[in-house]
Amino acid sequence: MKLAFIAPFYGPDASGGAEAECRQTAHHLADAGHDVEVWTTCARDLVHGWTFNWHPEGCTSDGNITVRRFRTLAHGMDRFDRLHTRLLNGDVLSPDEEHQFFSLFCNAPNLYRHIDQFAADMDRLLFIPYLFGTTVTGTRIAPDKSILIPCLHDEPYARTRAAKNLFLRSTRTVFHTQAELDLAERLYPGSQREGARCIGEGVDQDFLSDANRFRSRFNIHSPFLLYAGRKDASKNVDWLVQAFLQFKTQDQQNVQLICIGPGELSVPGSDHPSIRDLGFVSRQEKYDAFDAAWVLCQPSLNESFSLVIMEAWSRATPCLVNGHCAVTREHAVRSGGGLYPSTPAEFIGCLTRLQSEPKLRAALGRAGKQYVRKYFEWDHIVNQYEEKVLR
Amino acid sequence: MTNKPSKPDVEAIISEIQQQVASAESSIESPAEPERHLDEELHMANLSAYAGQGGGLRGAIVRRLLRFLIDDINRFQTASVRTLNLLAGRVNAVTGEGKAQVLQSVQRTEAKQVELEKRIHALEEKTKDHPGAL
Repeated sequence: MKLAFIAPFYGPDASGGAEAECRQTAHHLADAGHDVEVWTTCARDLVHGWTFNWHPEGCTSDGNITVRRFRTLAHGMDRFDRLHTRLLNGDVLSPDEEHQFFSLFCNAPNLYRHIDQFAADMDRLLFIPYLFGTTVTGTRIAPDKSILIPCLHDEPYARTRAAKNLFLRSTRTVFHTQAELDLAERLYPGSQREGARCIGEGVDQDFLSDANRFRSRFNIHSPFLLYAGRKDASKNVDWLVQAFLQFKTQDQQNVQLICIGPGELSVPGSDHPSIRDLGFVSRQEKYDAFDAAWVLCQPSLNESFSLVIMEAWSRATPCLVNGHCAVTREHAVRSGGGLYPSTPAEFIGCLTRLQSEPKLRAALGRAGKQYVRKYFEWDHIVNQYEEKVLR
Repeated sequence: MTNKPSKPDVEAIISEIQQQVASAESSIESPAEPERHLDEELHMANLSAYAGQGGGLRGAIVRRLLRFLIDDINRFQTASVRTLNLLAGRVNAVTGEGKAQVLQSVQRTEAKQVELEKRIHALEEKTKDHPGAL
């Protein structure tokens, strides 16, 4: 089939979960014999902002994928920031304000002209994720060919009229989990009657890892909990640190909390001697860390998939997720590969049980590994796309 | 697939967006005293231009400062105010504790940006005083 992924940002240097999913899925579909293009903007990623046209406009290739880039509209961010702040503070924007907000949220006129001109040549257009102008506007142009991969979170953008209209007009939507689909159905009743597909996301599982290499490299000789990801408040790391510190008051095994990933760990209590922030590590070191960890902790409240727990499970490392996060709790319940404490007291209870029952820890890890193998192998995901999404 | 809608007028859609953008540009509240631009990349582009043109000792100093700034920017790339604002919606929305945590992070980042602004300003002052060197 001839497919085009349409995303605000694309490339190996575009940070973000949706960006990584887009690139990986595009490559795996191309490897399976589909003719895949990516239509995107010249902006690099969310961190650098969408009004900065980092990449040159034009056509390049990324392996066997054709990448077409279009310049975004240049404008100041003052008005966007004001509307954005109000939206995040819980204000309901007027229809005009909302229209302006999305007009300032990553739009590329020549991309829209390209969709208009060439959609007829493609079998399907896949838009990812839901909140940017490229999707909000782009899906209006060729709705009969458009498929939405929203990466939906329970967040202020999701409660806008534009988001509601987007989901209501989408005739086919790809969700990562049942919890994400349930959220869409709750926010936009009736929108997911026939076109909803819940297929997950592919996970690389064929990487090698070496727990001893990680321990030796970073001089870690005691059991440790691993946190892997950005260390800011949006990921709820503060909660993890506080719960871990409470656990430490009764810990007899010198358990450590090891953090890897971008950002500074600057929450209260993070200077405790049993907490170590290793900062950025290489991909291989990350895989080694999954292998070496006693358990992976994912405290985040808002995830649409959570690749990191899949990667830990693929190494048979059990996970502790936040019981208040519907998505990661669903993974833990379905897989049997993790526990899902909702409070620091429950967190301590879970850790204590895992400490005293190594067989339980191993069983959780095995169950998680089987879950990832069964549902998120790339061959399976490509097959799901071909059978349930692209037809 | 079902419910095939009629083909929209793309030029009309684009025109609507451009009008909204133009309206936003004209609604900036203090055009006589615009807010200092916080886009690190723009600063980088300007500073790169300085450094690229510079020769000799002054150019070397600017390039060294530039490297220092790049390191600094890389450290908080993932925590710029705009990014935190965007990510704020991904905390459990606007409920008390989550919101307070985000606001604290934003304040911390704003403090860092103010510090960076000062450094950039000092660098610009330095180069302004020595136009011949650049």
